[in-house]
Amino acid sequence: MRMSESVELRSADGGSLAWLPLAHLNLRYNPFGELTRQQRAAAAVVETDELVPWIQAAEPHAPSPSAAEARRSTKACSMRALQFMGDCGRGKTTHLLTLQTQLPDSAYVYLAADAPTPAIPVGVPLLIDEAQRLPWLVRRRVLRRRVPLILGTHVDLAGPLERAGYRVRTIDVSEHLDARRLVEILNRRIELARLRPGELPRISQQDAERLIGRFGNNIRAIESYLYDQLHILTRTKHGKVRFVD
Amino acid sequence: MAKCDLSIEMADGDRIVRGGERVRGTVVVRPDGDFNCKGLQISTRWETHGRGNIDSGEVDSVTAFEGEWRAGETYRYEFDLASGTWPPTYHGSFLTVEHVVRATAKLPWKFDPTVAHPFRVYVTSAPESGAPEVKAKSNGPIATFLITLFLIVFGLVFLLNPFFWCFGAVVAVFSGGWWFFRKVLPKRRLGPVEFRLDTPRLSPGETVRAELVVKPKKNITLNGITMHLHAKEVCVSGSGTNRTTHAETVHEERISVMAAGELQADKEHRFPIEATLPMRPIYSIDLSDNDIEWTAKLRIDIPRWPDWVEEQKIKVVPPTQPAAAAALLPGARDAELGNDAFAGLGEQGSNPSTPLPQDSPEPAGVSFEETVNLVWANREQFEMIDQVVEAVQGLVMNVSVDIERRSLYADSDEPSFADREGTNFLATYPDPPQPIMLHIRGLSLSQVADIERQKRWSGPAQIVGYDRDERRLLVKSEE
Repeated sequence: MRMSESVELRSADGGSLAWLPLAHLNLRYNPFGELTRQQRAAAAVVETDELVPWIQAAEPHAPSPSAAEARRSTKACSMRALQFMGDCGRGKTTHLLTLQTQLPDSAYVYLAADAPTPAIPVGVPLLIDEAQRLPWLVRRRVLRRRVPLILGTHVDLAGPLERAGYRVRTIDVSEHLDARRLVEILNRRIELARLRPGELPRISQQDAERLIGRFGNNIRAIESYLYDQLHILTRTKHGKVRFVD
Repeated sequence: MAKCDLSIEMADGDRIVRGGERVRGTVVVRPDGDFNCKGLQISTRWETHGRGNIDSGEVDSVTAFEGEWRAGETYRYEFDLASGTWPPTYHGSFLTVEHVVRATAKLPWKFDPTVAHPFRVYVTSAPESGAPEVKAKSNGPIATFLITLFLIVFGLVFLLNPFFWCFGAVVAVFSGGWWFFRKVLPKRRLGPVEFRLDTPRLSPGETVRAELVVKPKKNITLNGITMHLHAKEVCVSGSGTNRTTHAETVHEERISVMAAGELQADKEHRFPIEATLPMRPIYSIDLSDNDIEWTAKLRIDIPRWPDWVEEQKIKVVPPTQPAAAAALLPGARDAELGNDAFAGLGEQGSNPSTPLPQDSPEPAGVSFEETVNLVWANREQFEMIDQVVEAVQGLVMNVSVDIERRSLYADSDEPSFADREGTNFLATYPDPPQPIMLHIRGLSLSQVADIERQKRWSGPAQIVGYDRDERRLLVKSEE
């Protein structure tokens, strides 16, 4: 899928910018730190070609005026819900943010654990991150909106969704990490921190295999490790870039 | 697919900017297709990078253009925007604060092309809280009301529910136990203890002054008293159950206030404490998810008894003199400083933009003062400092420095500094205030005490290295 060759933040040619700690690697900042939502979407490696038409296949229905009509409507329509499941740091949020960029009428909401439930926005489809935190009453209201849903969740919500008449597709994000994909993910992040045109340090297939061997499919742990590795290079200012010891 | 290239040309190149000063330049647009631009937004902003969630704030912005762009044309849009006044540019371990000019072209049905150009900002004053003028995230009045209401209701439920009384009792027992062991027991041995920080707000290179007053009721033997000066970056990533706090020490110094010994009963013992802050732009910063915190922690080590510990916060703020503040920024030597950077510098300032001579310095006839000036002027350019140090190695110079105190400095890469035959002193050159580690061999105990008392040392010595972590010039003397 096409992502963000034009979204990257680049430095202009003017000024040497040699004072930046990673300028000698042609990087504006350490690419393995935290990113904004927009940057995460821009750096994401997600196959959306099949998912976008699948979720768009159902049209939203108006709320049914009565319970009986609602039951009839539930049987008649085929609302679709896509749920991304997996442990922390495996890429659920990244999947949601990427899909959001592909769906212009969509709306995204994140349910934080330590804050009151935010207002659920209006969008088609509706993307809900950490959907397992939806209080029962709010979840009921969301399901009654009868719009396609894209959920990031730690808990399988297929049961309640199917009872509400949704056709559910579940994707386990942790199953999808192989060395080839990891190379692409990490090199996109490096590209996002590019300082100026020219060469950049690159993660090799061999590096990726060793990282998966060490950290499994925990991308967050891999990024944390690479952050430290790259930070060491801000002190040395020279030498070959070696991401994995 | 047609692309729309944006680039930024800064009018003043790589100039270091004083917070609030105007930043000028041109955004150049080169479309290779026809575009209908809904707005070319140019803004100045600050943003963090690193381990913590990104904090950012927009400072000034302008919509420079709306309309059609034709393929093959080049369009230029000048901007003149205010820079941010807080936080200043900072490059640390877990935290980086960057100021940028950002240009974004809003194109319908396309990714908005964006370009950003970083520039350095120094400031000469800090907000009282350490927070920026506009908090990156803030709750609206409705959210604040709801949170307050929630807390009130929660409090009432807590007070009326017997289950929570039990919970409260358990918390009270643990808190009381902690308070008894950490506060009451040490005071039973020590009597009244006062730890007073005389300089809670100061700048890099300045001296932290504190005083400890102890008046024990009985004679008491101590393992020692130490003050721990500590600066750390605290960055929070994620939220809710994924919330992780990352802390990284960026400066740490242990000051021995008193060696093992006895304090006599009913006598007021006063210990003046001094420690010099490093000449690095590590200022106290308080953003939403990214902070820099300075603390002074005093510990009275009582044998076989809970230690008396007290921690006080220090606020480290930028120097008020523009040149001093600007010179602390990374790569300051390379930059053309702002017009007013040297205003009011007076006689104490060294010129931070003094360039390294094109030719290698000639060792013969080079004084210690000249060498220190070169090192100071290039203190962010480690390779250049290495060149200078290499060029003067083996040359015996007349060295005169201010002594701060003795130091173990046992973890030095320079082997002679771990030599037990010699004594290490933390020292500073008077002007510019270049930190120095002085190693003197062959001193008797009385000579060491004399040097510590006089707070000054002069004599022949050689420069043998440079400690990049501590940014200290390593100087060795054979008395």
